[in-house]
Amino acid sequence: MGKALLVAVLELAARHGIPAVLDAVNRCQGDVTEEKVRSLVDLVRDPDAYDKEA
Amino acid sequence: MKRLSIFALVALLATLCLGCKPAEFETNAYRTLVGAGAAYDVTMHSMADARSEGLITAEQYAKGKVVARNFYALYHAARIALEEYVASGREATDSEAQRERILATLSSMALRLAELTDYLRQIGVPEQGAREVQNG
Repeated sequence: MGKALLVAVLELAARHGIPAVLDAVNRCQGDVTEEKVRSLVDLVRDPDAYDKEA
Repeated sequence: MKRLSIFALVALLATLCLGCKPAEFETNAYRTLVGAGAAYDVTMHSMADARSEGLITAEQYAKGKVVARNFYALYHAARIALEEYVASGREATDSEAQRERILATLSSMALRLAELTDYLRQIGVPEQGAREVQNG
């Protein structure tokens, strides 16, 4: 499973870039604050936002 | 050959987050939102890719978006509920009720995410980050 996870993280990095992986990790650092929770609004886009890629 | 589920990404992110603060309610709820949000984003990119490559029809894509919209609504409901919980403080008199509301919303949200990935698997959308990998 370790190999599979390595493949997953490499694909995530390839798809969204290393910053996307680091962003997810960074979001989990430190205390949970109102501001951090509010910033999660940017993580999930409306389904219609993906249309231009389709 | 072993198929790697999209949820491996969530597990991976959770693993990467193990170095975070000790497990408190809001920390766990927050991590769940981060992991689910990342998995949703990857899933939606996969569906859009499948549509652009002609692997799924416009009708299948539209139906997938209906399922995705259910997740989207619950994700933001959970996010807002958690934000209110953090703002009110753990010692608030109604914190237990707030925790129950957040947990219920997170559970529903996770089910909708599973429903979305199941549907995409059903119509043959290759999972992003879930290629078949040689195992050993």
